[in-house]
Amino acid sequence: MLDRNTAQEIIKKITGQCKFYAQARITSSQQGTTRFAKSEISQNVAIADTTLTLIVYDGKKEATVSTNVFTDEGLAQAVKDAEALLAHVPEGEFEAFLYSQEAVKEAPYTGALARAFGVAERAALLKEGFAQIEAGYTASGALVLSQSVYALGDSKGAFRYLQGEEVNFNTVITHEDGTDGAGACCSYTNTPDVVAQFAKAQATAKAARNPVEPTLGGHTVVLSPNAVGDLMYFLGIMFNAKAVDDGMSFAAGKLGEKVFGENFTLRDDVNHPDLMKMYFDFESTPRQALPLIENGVVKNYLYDNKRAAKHGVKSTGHSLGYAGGYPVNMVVEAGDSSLEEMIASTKNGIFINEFHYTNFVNPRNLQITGLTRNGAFLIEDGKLGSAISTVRFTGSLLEAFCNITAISKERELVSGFGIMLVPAMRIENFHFTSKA
Amino acid sequence: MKEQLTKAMQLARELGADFADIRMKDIRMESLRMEDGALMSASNSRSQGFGVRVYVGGAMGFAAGSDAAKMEEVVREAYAIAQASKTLLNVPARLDEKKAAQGTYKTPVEIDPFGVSISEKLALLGACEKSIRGVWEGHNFSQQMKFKTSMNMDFRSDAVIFADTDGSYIVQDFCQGTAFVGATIISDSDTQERSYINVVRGGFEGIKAMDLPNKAHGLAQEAAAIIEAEDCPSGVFDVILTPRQMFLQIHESVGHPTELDRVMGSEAAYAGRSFIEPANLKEKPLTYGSEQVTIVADAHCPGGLGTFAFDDEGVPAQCVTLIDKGKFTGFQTSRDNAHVIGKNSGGAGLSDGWRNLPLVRMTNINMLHGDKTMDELIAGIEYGFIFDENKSWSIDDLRVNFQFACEIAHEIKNGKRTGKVFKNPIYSGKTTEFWASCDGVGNKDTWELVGVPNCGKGQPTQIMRVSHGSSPSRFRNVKVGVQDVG
Repeated sequence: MLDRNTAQEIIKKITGQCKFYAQARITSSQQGTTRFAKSEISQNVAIADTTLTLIVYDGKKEATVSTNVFTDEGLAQAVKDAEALLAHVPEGEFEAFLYSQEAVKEAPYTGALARAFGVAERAALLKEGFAQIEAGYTASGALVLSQSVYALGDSKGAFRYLQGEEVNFNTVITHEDGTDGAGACCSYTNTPDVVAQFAKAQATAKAARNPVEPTLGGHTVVLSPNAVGDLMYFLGIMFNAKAVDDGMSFAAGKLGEKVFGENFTLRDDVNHPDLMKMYFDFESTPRQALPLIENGVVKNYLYDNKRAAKHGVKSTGHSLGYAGGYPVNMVVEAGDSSLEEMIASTKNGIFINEFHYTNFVNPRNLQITGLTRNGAFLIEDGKLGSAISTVRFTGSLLEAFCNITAISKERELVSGFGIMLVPAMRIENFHFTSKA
Repeated sequence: MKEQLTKAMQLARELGADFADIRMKDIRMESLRMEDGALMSASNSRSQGFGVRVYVGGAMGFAAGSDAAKMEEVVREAYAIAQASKTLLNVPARLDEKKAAQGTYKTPVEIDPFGVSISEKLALLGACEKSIRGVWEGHNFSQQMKFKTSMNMDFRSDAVIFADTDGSYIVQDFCQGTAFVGATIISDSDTQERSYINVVRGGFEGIKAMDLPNKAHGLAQEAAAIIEAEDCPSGVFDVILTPRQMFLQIHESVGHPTELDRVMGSEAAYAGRSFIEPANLKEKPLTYGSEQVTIVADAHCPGGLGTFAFDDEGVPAQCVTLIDKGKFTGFQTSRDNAHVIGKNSGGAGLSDGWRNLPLVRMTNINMLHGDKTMDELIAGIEYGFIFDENKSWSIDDLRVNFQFACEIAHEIKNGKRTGKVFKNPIYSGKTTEFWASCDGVGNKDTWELVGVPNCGKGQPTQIMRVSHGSSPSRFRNVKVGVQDVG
């Protein structure tokens, strides 16, 4: 991977060649993906790439050029292209926001995941997992090791560097009759237990056989952390101040208003020990840990520099290089129940292991749609009963998150927008609108 | 370059590969984004690199890198990964028979988009802005509104070289342009947008042919109408889908389920599977739709994002009939799965760039035109709607239960448009039932090609560019709205 000194040298070299104030960002990644289908490795790939993005400013004029050609000629061409583009663009709204040089915490990097999840280790772990699969079932999925470096700096000497690693695993175990169960895990820090997820998927797949048709309409649902994480993805991007300004968020005009139930609190927390420790954003601004929803009340929008300037506030440090701010460390506050207790205390309901193809219908009222996948079950008199066949839900999260009647103490890391820490939940009157 | 790629393939053979291929791609992009008449960003980018795929004893390894000086290292890595794959292999992969291919191809381009000045491109977007604002300034709204415009123009060129251990060497150059215009009106409680996006292979002439300022005028008028319109009624109605909704109906409910790798379970844990099985070709014939429905995967279609001379496995471009007059007749295939249906690859092995390996990807999945004028389609509806421009989509794992939302519904009563429009039209259905309800398809003059720049599939996720051509099509008894019924 690109080391700190080399990254700094490249940034110094390219910004030093620019006639104007310049900022440079480098993203370098190595990814090893072992994909499997029908309980054998089906695709096994390694990808390495490093890209530099150069932004040059002349007053309110701004031009951006990206390249992955790191020869002297390649870098010189990037400068030439950026300055040529700059000469032809009209003025924008703002002058450059200089990169912050404020001190931030250093993120630790150990390389432990890289050592534990190399190509041979991934194959060995999968072999161990496949050994648990019963006759008549096969496994599909992917085990992915991602290593990355992110560095940024400017022509005034600012420089930041972050090295990180992440493991993501997902599997679906399918019976020859077509029914499925799934497991998934991920981590930035500890070694996730891949083999345990195979066991979970196998048990779910076994229970999912011979599904019955559910009835449509409002139901009490108990959602696994994975299913909750899917909904959080759609909720999280609504706090982007640009989405708010563009009328594409339910949160427009709702700052300080109670829109969800008292028991629902959502934070973006860069300081959480299990989550990604990128203490600065893509504009070098220190990333703030902020409540987004506190006891049902909308508490904050997320800003990059330009959006913050439009609002007359300071950036919250949530730039991802796109317009506005995005949460990448979402944490849903734990409750006092457990998944087992939620099921045990539900007379009639449906347990949902995963959602599939969830999408906005209308972001302004948080109306979304999606389908169940990989294990959904009736809850009858406090016990899991028959599996149900695939069913579609359509409804507003504004309503759903006012109807949360239990949240689990235990939380899981779920891959989504970054990696999120989320509990299981019970929600009343969740609307199913059609059968597959 | 030919010498270096040939040496890389020789090295793969020397290491012990049964077969190897390499794709080298040099991708240039230029992008302009405007909001409310102001330039938000101007950028260009270049990404070059290569991906090497190696087969050893039926096991596959793939490695990709951006530094051509390290090509030998990447070939060795791909070979080592294939060896690791062998440790968990039940059924050795089987590639189809393919002759060594030599050839060149270039997207026909009249005006090089990278040679057109930034100011000319911005002037075109500026004309759209003026057109939209002109409509809104002259419109009487019943309440205070916020107005927003957004526009993009993007260009991309891909210089691609393919070589394999069989001696293939193919050079292809592709060029495409994208234009987007969005007209959004925001009230206290609602937001409504009318938008147009298209992506076409070709030069700047393709963007000019879109007639954007005129389209922008119509979008502004319709945005002003729907922000104050009622919600589309719920119930069961006859509907006409325009090509700007048909493209996604075809994409999700015909394109993806007919990909043979999905059928065989490669995407079971990610993009999903399919309700179709190989036996549906012969032993268990499948009626997919009405006799009005004929759909092809056509890699020769002019202007299509899936148009080429050879795919990323060096297989010549083809036109495969997927549905013929309602009967299911074919899958989209690549070299490693075509044997399942006893055929050679249908030429759909494509990767989204140099980083990724080829998967079965849609080329241009086109529905052939029918014989009706738009007026004739409308005349056949007692009460119903025309749904235009997609805004939301979702479909289940097996590609059976779909739900789409569109930007606008035009009311039809007694065989005529009433001029009334509704907002938030949503419809849902089941794939084969829905296609079976198609009883009228627009004629040649109504046929339109729509580019999709963001089709996701695979792990790591690949974002592919595909096209879909279609005419306005009429469907009977469609469930409209999301009431808890049916």
